[in-house]
Amino acid sequence: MKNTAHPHISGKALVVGGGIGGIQCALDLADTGFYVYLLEKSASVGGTMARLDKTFPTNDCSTCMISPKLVQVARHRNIEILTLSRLAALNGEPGNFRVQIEKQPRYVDQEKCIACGACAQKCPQKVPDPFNGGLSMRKAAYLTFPQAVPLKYAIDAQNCLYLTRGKCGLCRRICPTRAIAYDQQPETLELTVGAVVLCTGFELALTRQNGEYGYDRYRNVVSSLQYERMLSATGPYGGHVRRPSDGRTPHRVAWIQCVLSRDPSRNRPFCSAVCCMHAAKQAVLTRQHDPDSQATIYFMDVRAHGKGFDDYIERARAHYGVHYKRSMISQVYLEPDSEALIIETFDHHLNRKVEETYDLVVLSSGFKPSEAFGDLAKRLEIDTNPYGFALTDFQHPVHTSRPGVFVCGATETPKDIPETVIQAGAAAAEAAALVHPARHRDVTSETTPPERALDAEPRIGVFVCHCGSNIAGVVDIEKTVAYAKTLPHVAYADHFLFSCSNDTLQKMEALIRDKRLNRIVVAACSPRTHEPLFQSVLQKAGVNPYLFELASIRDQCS
Amino acid sequence: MDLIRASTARAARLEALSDHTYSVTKTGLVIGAGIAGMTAALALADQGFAVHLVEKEGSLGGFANNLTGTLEGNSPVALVHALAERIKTHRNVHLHLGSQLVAHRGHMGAFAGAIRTTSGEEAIQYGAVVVATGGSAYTPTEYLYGRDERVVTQVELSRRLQTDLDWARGLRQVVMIQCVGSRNEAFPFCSRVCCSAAVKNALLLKELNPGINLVVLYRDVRTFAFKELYYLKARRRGVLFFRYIPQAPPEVHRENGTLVVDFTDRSSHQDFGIQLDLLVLSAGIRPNAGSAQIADLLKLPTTEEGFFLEAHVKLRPVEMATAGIFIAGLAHSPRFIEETLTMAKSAAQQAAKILCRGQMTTSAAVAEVDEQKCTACLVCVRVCPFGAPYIGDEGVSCIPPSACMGCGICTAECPAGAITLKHSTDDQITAKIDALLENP
Amino acid sequence: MALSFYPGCSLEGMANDYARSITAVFEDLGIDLVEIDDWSCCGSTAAHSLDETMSVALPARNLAAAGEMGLDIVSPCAMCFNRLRYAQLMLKRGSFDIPWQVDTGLAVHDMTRFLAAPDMLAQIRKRVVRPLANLKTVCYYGCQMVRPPSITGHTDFENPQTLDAIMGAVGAQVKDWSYKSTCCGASIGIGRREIRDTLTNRILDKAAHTGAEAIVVSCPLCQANLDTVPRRPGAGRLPVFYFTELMRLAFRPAAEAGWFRAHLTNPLPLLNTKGLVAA
Repeated sequence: MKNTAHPHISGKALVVGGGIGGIQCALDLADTGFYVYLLEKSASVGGTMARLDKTFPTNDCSTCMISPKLVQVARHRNIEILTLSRLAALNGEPGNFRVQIEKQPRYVDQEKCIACGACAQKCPQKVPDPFNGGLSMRKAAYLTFPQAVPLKYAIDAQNCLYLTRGKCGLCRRICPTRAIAYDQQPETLELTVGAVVLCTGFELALTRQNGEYGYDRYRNVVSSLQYERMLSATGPYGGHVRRPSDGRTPHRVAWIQCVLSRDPSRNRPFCSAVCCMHAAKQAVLTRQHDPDSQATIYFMDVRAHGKGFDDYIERARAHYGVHYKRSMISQVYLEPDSEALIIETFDHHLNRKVEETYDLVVLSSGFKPSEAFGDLAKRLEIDTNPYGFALTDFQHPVHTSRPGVFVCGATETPKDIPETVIQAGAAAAEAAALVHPARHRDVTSETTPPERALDAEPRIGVFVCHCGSNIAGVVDIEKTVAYAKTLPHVAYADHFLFSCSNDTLQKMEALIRDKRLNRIVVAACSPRTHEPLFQSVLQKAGVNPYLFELASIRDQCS
Repeated sequence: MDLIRASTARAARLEALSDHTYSVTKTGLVIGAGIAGMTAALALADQGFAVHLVEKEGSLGGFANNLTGTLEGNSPVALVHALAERIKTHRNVHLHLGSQLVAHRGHMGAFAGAIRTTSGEEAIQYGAVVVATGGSAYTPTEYLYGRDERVVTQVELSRRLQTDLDWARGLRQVVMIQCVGSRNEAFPFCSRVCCSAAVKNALLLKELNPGINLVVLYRDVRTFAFKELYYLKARRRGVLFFRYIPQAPPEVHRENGTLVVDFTDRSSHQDFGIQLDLLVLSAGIRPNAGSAQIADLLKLPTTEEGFFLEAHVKLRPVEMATAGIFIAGLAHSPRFIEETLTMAKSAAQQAAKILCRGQMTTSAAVAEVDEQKCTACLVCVRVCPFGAPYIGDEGVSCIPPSACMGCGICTAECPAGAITLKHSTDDQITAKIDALLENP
Repeated sequence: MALSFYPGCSLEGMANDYARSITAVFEDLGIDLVEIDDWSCCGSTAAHSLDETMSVALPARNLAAAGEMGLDIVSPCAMCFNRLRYAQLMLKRGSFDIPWQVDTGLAVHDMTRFLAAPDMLAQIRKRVVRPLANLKTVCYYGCQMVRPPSITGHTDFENPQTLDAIMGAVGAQVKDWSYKSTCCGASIGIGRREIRDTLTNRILDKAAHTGAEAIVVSCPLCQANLDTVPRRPGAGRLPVFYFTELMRLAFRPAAEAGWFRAHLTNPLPLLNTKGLVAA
């Protein structure tokens, strides 16, 4: 239903930041009839949640939870993702803003790139991978993470030999689709939107410069996010926790809480709200990875104030044997021979100071608003509190000081994923209230191709998913595909690295049409995660979506 | 490989099915007109949707009416007034005070129900529901509460601090006990707001009388995020915080008419006894009694404590598992006012996803009754968790496709084998099992 | 370049060797150190424990004198440095009933920070005649020079770098260790010796554990504690040098080494083995 009233109100919104907050807000707006530009400063959306292993209090796999949303955002007709972009200027008024976006070049033609990875393979330039907290290297031609959205490679302009010194150029020669484009230039886009939502997220306050507790000085002292990457299957050590100094498994791991939080001496007197919980989660996962390990958390207060959180802490203590020691640690000492770390604490039973030795120490660092936000807030003239977080109004908790500009997530106050998702919905509601007269007007609608008449004979397509290494690490994919081809009614069988990724879904659609498949079996995770996704692929290919079956080989076999 | 063989066997027998389309009722229903309910209603109304706002009391505002001020110095009463004004004058809001929802059926986009108002019953139609039945304060039974007028709760203290400043200035020794009615066996959750409430009242008391001897007995101080700054301020002003452990909680008794609290300091292991002018209990939050009635009527799951249980903690925090029903505020869990407002708007936005559409489709994987075989034995009617089947005019069971969730319970239970579950037919399932057990 | 110089009392007595090496080094660097005329006690530990006004007034007298000279101050003793900065800070924040006019904008330098500035390090490198290439050291900073940061201006109080940089510039090997500014007990050694003994011994043990052959300091009390604390029988000890002593060695390899006798732990055997002094 087209709405031609209120031509001066734009039915489009700008969401700045592609983390879980921005993604959820974009979906909450696009699903209610508005067009959304989703801006992201890096090469892929996903934010911090894409870097986490599991999330509290359910210990659900973070990637599994964000992937469906990443794909929804990627495939949504009414969400346009603008990566490598920043908001340069905002003029106009609520309902009718003129925004200026500065887009940095990816140096890869997104239309041509098939994410084959050849460029990264050949690229000779290695740099510490910021996604993995510098614990591993990546190439100057890179993909942020395996499920990146958009799933397109990018070239790191500051480290590319060609772009900085005119040398090399190997990637351009090797790319099978000629997608490398060194001559791409920065672009400026002028857009009109009705509302703006800021969700630029957070970074750890701990930096190489502030050297707390031996961070960036002693090799076996890592930040919470670095440790999270170690725990992750797609992390620097393939999901195994290792000491950076010698690659061995640490048996004694300690967490120090409130690093650069609750610390007036460093002008960071506030609390970062989530660290008590994420430390407990990491400790539980550590104990699960290695039942011989010793996990100790040094804390001041346990802030488990959310639904089900106290329960989680109790299980961490009672069931998983995580040691909790109420002791504010002031310094970490290095044992030079083994590069172990010594923590001095007060033992209440012995009533004196004791030294405790650990193989690895994790610093639960406080949060600060993302670097880009400080600049952004100034340019947009948004009020912030003394610590750089966006100020909001008590009666209107997602309104910034500028009308028509809303905020959600850690940009406003450090908070966890559920609170961020809730706030994203609220920001969407406020934006929608502003531009609702233009609902459904500036969007494109879905057209589903008509269904083909069903052939008498079933022609089944079997697609076996690697799920990265989750399935491929256990199941012999080649053999499985070969076997599938021998089954009755199977007309075609193939395998994919990640069936749920946008690129694979497009391939599947093409294959269904080309091979005239009229039923598909996907051997992958579970219907609970991606059934609607595969059904929509069938629909796009002109096949009834009920002709789909999922074999849960990940959950059952690997 | 076995699984794939089984799956292909079923796949060969799958049928093409069509989804069922129906029109959406573009009206929302919000149950409860506290700040959560009013905010959700306004969020929908401001987007152009009509809303029925049902409140069982005769006035608006819910528990917020009992509050005097927040830690940051904001006014809940001003908030209630602001919201109430807008509610009463908004042309899209149909307010029903002194009313309760007494009937509810249907499915997302097309619900039908009835409200019992002061003037009889009214039938209503709505496309989405936001449950905002709110919460209340725990009434303590411990620490002599109710048996000595010197023992009060934080909420009661807040009110007296507004109305009785002279009394407040005259207080010399005050002790606050945290986690009363929370974090224990009966109610293992944290009530989230009490540490901030204690700090707020402590700062107010110190302001009125800097010489006051004020002790807070806590288990963990949970003034998270920027509330920490107030905790720091309280400590700098001389409020004493002593930790206690649940195995050795403070004890309160009367000695010759004096009220005394005994506790052990965990740092020095010394025992202290303080003679009190006032004992303040940080009593926790409970869901409202009305929540249970709504949970029953709408068939919604709750936690053991009676809070509503959302569909998924992380991905769908304001949605209930039953499509079209959303949750906000204290009915879900203890939270601060700003958090409730945020949650209410978020719930409204999820509801808007339904209300903004002209039509919706339901899954075709639904139960179908073979009228020839049905004997109207009523097993399916009784066993369905969603209340979908009913005996129709023909005297046999009818299962509306849009009400059926495709769970298959009725299919399994029907003694006459009269029900087929589309997309999980007997021959599909048997083929799968046979293939699974085949030797490759 | 000229600086006003506040030696402090210990340089007159116990830290005489420090004083002499400072004179030599600054001469070699071509910097004029002009001793503040009629300088007096900085107040040290005693004053601030007893009376706030006195704790500000005592250093302020010296700040006023330096102000009249119009020269920035450099102070080799960490405690004096700390007290001078403290007085400056207090006078910036509020007023005190003291009879002297103090220029609170005057720079008060801790000697190591002054010499570790990039241009000074370049000068130092130029002056090195014989680098101390095979001497393994750890640098110990003590407390007053680095803490509290609001007074001293050091932001890296857990891992200060100034001494490390200077020793690096004269070619010595510097090992990193966690005890750079760990408490040695300081003047509590006077009243509660056993506390000082425990703390200082620990530092010596940790220093030896890194494989260092010597400890480098910049504070007379650090030197005193580390050099003189009784050790357990059998535990070795490391010589403790003032950093300027080692700088002097690097600048003037042929100079007489007699003054090392002022150390309680004789450093000459080590220096001999390293070929850093004439036998």
